[in-house]
Formats: sequence, structure tokens, C-alpha cells
Amino acid sequence: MTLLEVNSLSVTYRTPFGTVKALDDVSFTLNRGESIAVVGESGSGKSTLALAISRLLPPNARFRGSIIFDGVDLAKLSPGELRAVRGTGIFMVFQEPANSLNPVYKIKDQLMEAVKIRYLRSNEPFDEGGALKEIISTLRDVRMPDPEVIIERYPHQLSGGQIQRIMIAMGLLMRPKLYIADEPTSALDVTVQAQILKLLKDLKNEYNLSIIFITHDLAVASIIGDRVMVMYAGQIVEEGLMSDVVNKPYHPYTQGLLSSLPRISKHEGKLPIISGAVPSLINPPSGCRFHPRCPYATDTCIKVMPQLKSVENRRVRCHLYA
Amino acid sequence: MPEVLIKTKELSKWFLAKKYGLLERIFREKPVFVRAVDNVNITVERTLTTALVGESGSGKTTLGRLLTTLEAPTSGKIFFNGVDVTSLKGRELKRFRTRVQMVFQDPYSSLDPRMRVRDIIAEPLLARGVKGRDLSERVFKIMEEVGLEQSLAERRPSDLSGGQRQRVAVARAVISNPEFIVLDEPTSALDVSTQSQVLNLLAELQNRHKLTYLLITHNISVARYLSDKIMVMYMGKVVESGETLSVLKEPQHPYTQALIESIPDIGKRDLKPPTGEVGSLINPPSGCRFHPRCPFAMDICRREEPPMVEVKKGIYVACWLYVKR
Repeated sequence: MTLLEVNSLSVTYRTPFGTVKALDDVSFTLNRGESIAVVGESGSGKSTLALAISRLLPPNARFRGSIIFDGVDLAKLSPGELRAVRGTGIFMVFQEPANSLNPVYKIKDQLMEAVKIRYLRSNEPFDEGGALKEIISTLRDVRMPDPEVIIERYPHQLSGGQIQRIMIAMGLLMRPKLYIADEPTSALDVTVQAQILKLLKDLKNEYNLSIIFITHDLAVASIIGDRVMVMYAGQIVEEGLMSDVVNKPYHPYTQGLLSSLPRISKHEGKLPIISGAVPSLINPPSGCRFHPRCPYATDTCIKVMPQLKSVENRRVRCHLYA
Repeated sequence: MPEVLIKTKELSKWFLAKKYGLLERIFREKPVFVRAVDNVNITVERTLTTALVGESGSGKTTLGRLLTTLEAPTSGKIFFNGVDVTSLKGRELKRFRTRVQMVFQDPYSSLDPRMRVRDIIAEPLLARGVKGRDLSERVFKIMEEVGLEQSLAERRPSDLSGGQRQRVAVARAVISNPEFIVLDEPTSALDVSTQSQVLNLLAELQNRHKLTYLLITHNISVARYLSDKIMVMYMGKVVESGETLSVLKEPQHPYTQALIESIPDIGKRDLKPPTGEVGSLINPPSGCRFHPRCPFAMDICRREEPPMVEVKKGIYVACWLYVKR
């Protein structure tokens, strides 16, 4: 059953240096209880996508397209109507969690507010004692040691890993339908990252949560995503089932990303590289945006932009598969 | 057998966790310390890469700074070519520092934004009195070697991409032919596609100039690629050391095992991270510092610190599981 349907979403930012075309014609759907990993390098538009779906784009951004969430087009909602969707409908966790909490309130008060909002929206009577019990047990779920002690603290007294877990717990307390996480584990240590990935997977199965997980790391993506969407220079270049894509990547960029994960030792030779650098989004390359770095580029690639086409079970944007 | 370049003896660095001024002294309060590096004995061999891996707070960066004399140890000694560098002062210390170099994590903040690329790269040579044509020839030669076009020489760091900036930082580190280079998370700030380019470059330079690297990283696949020897740190202690491929393939210490089980990889569907949180460095756990999170913890682990024992040829582990009693 479809929860989210994004149709030809385009986002531009107006800057003093020109118009940045951050997202170009992005369309995809997400089912209930499904997780999709969005993978790309810096400047691929993956964070813009998250901000656009949660309607949190900065004032210099313009967007086109529709975002149908649970039957409603978010693009058409007023700020007041959007408020009602945020939290219990869509919950977002950012990479730098430190700014997500209010520094002058205790953790307990901030989590309590989340529970209160959920009760309010579902028209249930709020009971503080019951809410507190729920907070403590959710904090146990996110493997927080001594939750009774932690909730009496202020955000600055906690570590990055602890705050990230508080944010994940807050997300659970709100019971959102869609959980968007933008590089939630990139600032954390590997062991903490592994704890959080494991937790998110468990929760997805337990609460039938839909997850959009944004990351630059294909290995992290492969742990959490049922499906994967690879982005390059503001466009989707490949999208499909995770196991299909990592076992047999079609797009040359996906192939490059996969092979540039270092898995050998220097004594076995050089690491495969993707030559060149990520292009400017003010003046993107003509034709296929990946052609200047692509080992298979032909004349057609320089002149004609490839469309996102269905190939077997997935979608690929490359002339090789036309 | 490569010769030993650096050897440390019971090296420790404790930082004051809280101000210890006149008032505290008058009231005879005890100073509170963070034990960033605690009683560490390591060796670094010539022409090889030794990797220091561990999570944040494990002391790997502090250990790197101690070895380059950017930080003075609280106790213990560092022998560089057999000479104790912890006792060097003044001109001798300055001379020693020309023999070591460092590449930092973030090329956006480690390069002076107001200097031109050629001046940044030339700085270590200028400090040694190299001048004129000799200087510019050597700058251009090293720029070519690290893959920077000559046209970039007059540019400033803000005109360069992340990968190019890190190449400038590498060029600056190698130009003076140092005997020892510390690479502190050299690729963590870069995109995956640029990371491989910089790793290839570092391996190539090492091979050509017989460089000795100390690689500080939290990224195990970076350590696997670039290092010959690896040392795993946990809460200021080295818990396992040995040949890289052997340690990564058959980790012996329960912490190393948990660390490797936590690394996501294609085709790995489940991760098995260690439970709990890293303990406090101010009041480290008694005995073995990993015991509160260790699935094999025994009585002795809570009471006594484990000694470093050789479990296989060249593989050293600090764990009571491997001590024959």
C-alpha cells in the first residue's frame, strides 16, 4: 500500500552566483512498512529531497511537483495544515542532532511534549504518569542506559550518540507513518552506528514504519534499505531493490560507487576510482550529467540527456540500457 | 625485517578535566584527570604504515600528537631512532620537528586561506632555508607528483575542491622528505570517489620515497588498504596489535571482534555491535576497561588489568582470555 508518492519534484536555490538546480524531476513511491535508502555524494541533492518532502526548504528555494503523502498533496498545504502532518505524520532526524533539541528544557519535558501532541491529535485523554512510563520504556528500546537519570538532564549534558538516540526515541513516541533520517549515523562511532541501524530495523518491523534513509555510504545503506535510490547531480540515476542493485549495478556511477569502497590492501594494487569531481549544479554538464566522468561515454551521452527508464525490475538513467 | 623507527615506553597523557587553580590548591582538592593515553608501549617500523584504529575518545589522536611532540607526555618516554625525544628542548626540538610531518583530517581548516598554494607547499622548505630557484623547482616537482596542475600554484585554497586541498596538504607534508608522517583521518572529510584517489596517492608516495606513516583512522577499510601493522585502541589503551590483514581476518580481542562485527558491508545483513556505552575516562572501569561490555568477562577482568601477551606470531592482545595461568 502506497504511503508516499513523489511526482516530478524539482527544486532550485537562488544564490548570488546563479540558480542552483538541486533536484531535477525526481519521482518515486514508498509503501507502508518499506525502507528506501537514498545514496549519493555531496551535492547530489539527497538532503534537498528530504527537506522538500518535509516542506522544510529554506526561503531561497523554489519547488515544483507534487508530494502525495497519505492521500494529501503536501505541496498544496498551508503552514498551519503542515504543522498537523509534522511529528505524527512525518518525523525527521537530522545529521547534527545537537540543534534538534531545545537547550533550555530538560529531556523529560521535550519528550513529554511529543507524547502530549500525539494524544491531542488522536483525541485521547492525556495522562502524565502513563506518558512518563512510555518515555522510560521507549528510551530502554533505544538502548539508553539509565533512562530515569538521563531524562532529568539538559541536552548539553549528553553525548552525540545519546542525543541521536533521544531523537530516535522522540520519533517513536510520536508514532509517525514516515520516518526520514538524513545521515543520522554519520557523526557517530561505528559501534553506536551499528546499534542504531539494528534498532531502526527492529522498529520498522515492529511498528510497520516507512523509512527514508539518506546516506553517502552504500555499505550503511545496504544494511537498512529494502530498496535503494542512487542520486547524482540532482537526478535519480538508478533505483531498485537493494539486493539487485548491489549484486549487479547497472548505471556506471553505481558501479563506480560500489567498486570505490576500499576492500583490498595496497599490496594487491590500486583502488578503482571515479575520475574527476562532482559537477557544478549551476551549470550542469550537457546531455548525461555523468558523462565527463563515465568510462563508457559516447557522443550521444554528451548531447542527449538520458531518461529514467524501466529495465527489468528497476529504473536506470543511462543510454547503455536504451 | 624493517627497523624500528619509534618506540614508546609506558607513555601516558593525562589532561586536567577541570580547572586546578589557586583556590583548588588552597582547599586541597584533588585534581581530576582524563586519561587520554594510559601506559602505552608501541613500536613504529620504518617504511611501513602503522594504523591506529579506535572510536572517538580512544586516545588515537592524542597518541599521534605525542609522537610528533605537539603534546608533551605526562609520563613515559618516546625513542625516535633510539634518541629520547621527550627530553629535547629549544633548538634540538626544533630540529627534530623538521623530521616529522602531519596531514590533518579537514583540508578546509588545515590550510591558511590567505596563502597561495605554492607558498603553502613551500613552507617546510622555507623554514629550512631553501630559497630561490631551487625552492620553486622542488615545489613544482612535488605538485606534479601529487597530481596538482601547475596552473593551481597561484591559487588560494578556496578555489580548490576538497580532494585538491588534501593533495596540497599531502604535498606540504612530503616535500621536506620527513622520516615520519602522521596521517590523522586523511580521507574522512572527502567523498567516497575522492577518498580512493587520495588513498592511491598516499600508497604511491610511500612506495616511491620509502615513507613511514602512522595512520590514525576510525575507518577500518581505510586501515586495511593503507596499513601493514594495526593497533586497536580502547579507552587510552592498546588492546590488540599485529599484522593488519591477520588482525582484521581473525580478531582476537573481544573488543576488536565487536568492532569488526559493527562495520556495515555489502552482503552483511546483520550487525552485532557491543552492548552498552564507552565508560568514563575520568573514572575508568577497574581491571580491564572493556569488561562492562565484554560478553566473556570473568572475575579477574573486574579486578586486574590484563597484560599484553603474544597469542600468535606477532599478534599481541591485552586480554585475560589469552593469559595462561
